[in-house]
Amino acid sequence: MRRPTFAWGVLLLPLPVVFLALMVGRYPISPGEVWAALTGGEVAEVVRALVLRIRLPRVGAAALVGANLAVAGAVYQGVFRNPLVEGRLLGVSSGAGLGAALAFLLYRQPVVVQAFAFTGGIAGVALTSLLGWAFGAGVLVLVIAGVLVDSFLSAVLGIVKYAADPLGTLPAITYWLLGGLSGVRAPDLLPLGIASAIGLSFFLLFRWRVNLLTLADQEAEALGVRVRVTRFLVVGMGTLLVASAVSVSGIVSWVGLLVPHAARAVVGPDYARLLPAAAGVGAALVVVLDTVARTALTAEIPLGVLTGLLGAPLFLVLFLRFLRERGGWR
Amino acid sequence: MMRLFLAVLFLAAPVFGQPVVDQAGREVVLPRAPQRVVSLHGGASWIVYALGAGDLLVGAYFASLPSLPLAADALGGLDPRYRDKELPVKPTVEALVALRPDVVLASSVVHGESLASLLGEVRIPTVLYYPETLPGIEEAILLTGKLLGREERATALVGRFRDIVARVSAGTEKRTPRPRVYFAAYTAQNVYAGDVIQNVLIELAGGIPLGKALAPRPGLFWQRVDPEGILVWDPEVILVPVYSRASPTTFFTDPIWQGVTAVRTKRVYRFPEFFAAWDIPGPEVVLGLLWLAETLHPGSTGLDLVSEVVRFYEEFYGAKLAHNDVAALFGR
Amino acid sequence: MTLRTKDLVYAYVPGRPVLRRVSLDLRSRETTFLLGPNGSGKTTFLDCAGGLRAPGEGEVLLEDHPLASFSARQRARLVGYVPQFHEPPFNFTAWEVVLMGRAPYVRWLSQPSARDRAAAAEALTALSLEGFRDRPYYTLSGGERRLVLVARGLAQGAAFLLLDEPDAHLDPANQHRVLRAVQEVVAKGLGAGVSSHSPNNALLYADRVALFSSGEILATGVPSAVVTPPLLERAYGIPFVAVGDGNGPRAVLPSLT
Repeated sequence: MRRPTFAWGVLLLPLPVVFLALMVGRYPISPGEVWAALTGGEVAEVVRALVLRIRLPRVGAAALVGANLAVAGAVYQGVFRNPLVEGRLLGVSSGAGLGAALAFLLYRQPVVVQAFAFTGGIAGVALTSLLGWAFGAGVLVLVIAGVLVDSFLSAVLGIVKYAADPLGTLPAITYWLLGGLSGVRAPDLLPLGIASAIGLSFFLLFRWRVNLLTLADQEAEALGVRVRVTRFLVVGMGTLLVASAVSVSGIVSWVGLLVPHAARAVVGPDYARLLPAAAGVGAALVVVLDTVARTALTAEIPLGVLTGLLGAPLFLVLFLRFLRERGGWR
Repeated sequence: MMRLFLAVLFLAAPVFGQPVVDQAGREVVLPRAPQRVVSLHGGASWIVYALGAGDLLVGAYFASLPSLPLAADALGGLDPRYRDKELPVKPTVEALVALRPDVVLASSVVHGESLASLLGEVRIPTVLYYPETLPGIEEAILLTGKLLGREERATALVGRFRDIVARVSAGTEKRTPRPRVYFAAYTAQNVYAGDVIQNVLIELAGGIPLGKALAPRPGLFWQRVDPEGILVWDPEVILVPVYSRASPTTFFTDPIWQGVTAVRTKRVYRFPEFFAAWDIPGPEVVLGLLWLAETLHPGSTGLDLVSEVVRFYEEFYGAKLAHNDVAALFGR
Repeated sequence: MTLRTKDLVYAYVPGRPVLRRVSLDLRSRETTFLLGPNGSGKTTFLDCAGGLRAPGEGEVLLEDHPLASFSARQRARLVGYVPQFHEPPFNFTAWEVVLMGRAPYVRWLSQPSARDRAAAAEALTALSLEGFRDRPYYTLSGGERRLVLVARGLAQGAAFLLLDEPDAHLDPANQHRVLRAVQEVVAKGLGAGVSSHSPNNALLYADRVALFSSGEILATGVPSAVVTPPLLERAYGIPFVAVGDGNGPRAVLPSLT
């Protein structure tokens, strides 16, 4: 490892970003007041509530969502040996969307919606894995199974939407699918926090061995890697990260695809350095974008719209660079 | 639930402090009479004005602002600062908190429990509205009356509201033939579908809502109709709302519509507006109903439209309109 | 040490075995070349001998211990494998590729240790690749890439190294560099199994040659005894002529007559 401290430095990047994000908002609060609220100092009750109960949970959720999507995206790109995939490859978003839609039909409390979305996301990937496993657990088979499950679950989601009350439930489902972090409260952070702690610490410890999964199956087997078991575990952990993020934020595009490439451009492809860096860049990026989303206008800007606006052009730049480096697509 | 329970326990005060059930079935408690109100629901904003509480509004979403100079003047008379108060439909939470409202009136569909629980974190009570039917509008008026401590006025308004609805339905109930009515939505070939309030108005006014049998598009209130379907329906009356991209001219010039009875007999109408469009859920819907009944079956209600409009804005909003000005709006 | 295969049978399609009772010993300090036409079973044999495919019948023994009785990790510390193709999705550096050879020594949830780094550095040095350490894989030439893969196999620290056509798609100079490097590590104590389509490379670099034909071994022995026109004609189906200087053939060529 040539630049280990540097990669870990990137992992610390979100800290100052989070602190800056806490200072910014439509409600004018001075940095001193933010500090006082955080440290339990003397400050108006409404300011304390805003900082601790509105801004902090939202900024925290943004950081976790960003780190989760970036790490899962980086890992999936390696496991599926395809630089164009991201964490949502295996049907997690359609599963989560379906779960959320069902929750809206049955019971509209935000906590239930989150739980259903999370379960739906996991179930979507489980279905994909089951199909893939039945046909030999090869990488390509899994990807095809993912496409099948994704399109099937989207169709089921269509049926649920069609059955939903067009004046009440249906718009609620549509708004949820648009995504964003505008409704995040402290209690929502608990399940996301637990899932992220498990998934992120797993990958931060396992990070070097992800390299081995980028090898052809036989090559990895020859290096003593039990490919099927390892891939299953890694995809499972990735799913935990993505499903927990999606269940809170809805669909946030591009982060899982873009951030790993950006991090690679800085620290190189070695997962030992890439994963800490991707986690740091992902967390910082989503915190920044979400801060823009909640402060740029009086109205909330959907987070997915911002990531899309930024993502497409930035990805083009990174991808051209990637192609040039590899000397072409094949 | 726990928080709500505690709120009931500790914040109960003699007059306010009683739980009010909103239109999402939630119990909301206001510790005292609100002095600063934010409304994020277009219908609710007009109800607040109708209750004479426009000065309490510190922020409001208006689905649309009046485009008629007469209406804009009238609103300016009601509330000179209404333009400064305008909010987007989904403002950020902090923008809301910065207004320091005592209560936020929001849509159960657009904002829902998600916004309510977030505002709960900073102890701002949220009331959710769902006035998508005529009884729903009455309920919303009574609910807002309770919230603002103006129940008497709310009851009086609902009385008038019911009065007009009753007069209209009594007048049109037995009227035949009932014309086939096509209520265009955002474009000429989009028709309001299912049980939306536009179709309810047509039925009460003695017409046959052609779009009622169609299922609306997911997430929307309308459905697209193909040209052949339009010819099969052969609408006798076509209604075009003010917010539509289509106008009556569209129907008179587009060749598809030339074979349709409504176009041949020149029965294509702009659905009127004043503060808001009269077909959008809110107090003025009752005028939309009256106008439509008099348009489909002239004389059926026994009411004079212009006088009723003048009376409505005076009773509901305290706006004094000149009879001649209103008559001019209807080309009389 | 000996990596011994006994009566290996392997069929991808039932009833059509590509290996029919193949027995062959690979020994330490020996480079054994596997020759034979396409589809004669060389690669399948390497896969079975490396424990990557379980033979339908027969067994693979490492010093009397069945290879199948080792865990994947233990096996990888004993038998290394150098694939013909290595196309990583990302542009790892030579160092990162070689360090992956230490996978059987790095425990789950941990990173390569200083010892692993030392072993990888040693492997680079053994193949004189120090100068390529930080070069991205896709900027390397075909010969350099092959050497990096050999270094990875070396870093694996195994007693035996199986190489799948390490001389394919390389110019003569690079073929020489790669096979020479194999010879050098074998001289230090490794055993190597090398599949190849070049009988002449076998003459130049092999200690022993096994000639495959239709899933069987036609002949095993020192190169001068196996790489002969009659045996090659039986294996490949065309006549060959030998070019030599009296001490056995220096090269064999397809006969033009």
